[in-house]
Amino acid sequence: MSLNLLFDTSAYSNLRKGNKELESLLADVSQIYMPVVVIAELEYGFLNGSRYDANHVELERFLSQSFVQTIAIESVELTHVFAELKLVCKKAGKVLSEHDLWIAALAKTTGYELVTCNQDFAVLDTILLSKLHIF
Amino acid sequence: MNTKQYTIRNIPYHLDQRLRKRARLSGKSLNQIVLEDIASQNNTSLTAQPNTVLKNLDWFVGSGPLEADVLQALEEDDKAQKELMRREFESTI
Repeated sequence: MSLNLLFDTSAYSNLRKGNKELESLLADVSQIYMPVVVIAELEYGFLNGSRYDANHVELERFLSQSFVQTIAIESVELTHVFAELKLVCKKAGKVLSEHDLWIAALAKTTGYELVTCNQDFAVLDTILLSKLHIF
Repeated sequence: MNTKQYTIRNIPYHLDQRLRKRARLSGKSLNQIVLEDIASQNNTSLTAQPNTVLKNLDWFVGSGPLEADVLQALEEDDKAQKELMRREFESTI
């Protein structure tokens, strides 16, 4: 079965690092979707580092792959899902970053399978319509 | 790439609306969304065969962790966002 995966920042970072479980998931991948907030977070991290140019070029190369697509936050429905997920977190007494809530909202509205190494997302596991891969 | 053209009839209204919504949300054409669904249901892909994804990313996968200063900035950014959310939750209980 070909997978449509939605990456968060930790997925990109850990794939680069060489996470074997994450790597094995790519054997069945059809498309990798990179939310714009993930790209923004990575760029912010790179700007704080000492190898901005190299990291930026590497990210650009990653994004230029035919099976990698950026995905924007641009619909009213998405804002509704964002609010819904935020309330779920509040009621559960769990806190996610605002960017992570947008990423989760994208996963729910598109049906793409969220890939992350961030345990914070576990609170939304039963809420998302698609599978959640936490490594 | 050699391609074929299909004409699909009798698409239910609710399915049409669902497909159009996904197209709008993902920034893709309706045609692309339908093509991806057909490919997925047939265990293949439009752009790359599964085992070519890893091959095309061999320069990236396992090339090493991001630098400590980058990871620290990402972690601090995440903590700052979560702290803001925590304060908001606490103030609206």
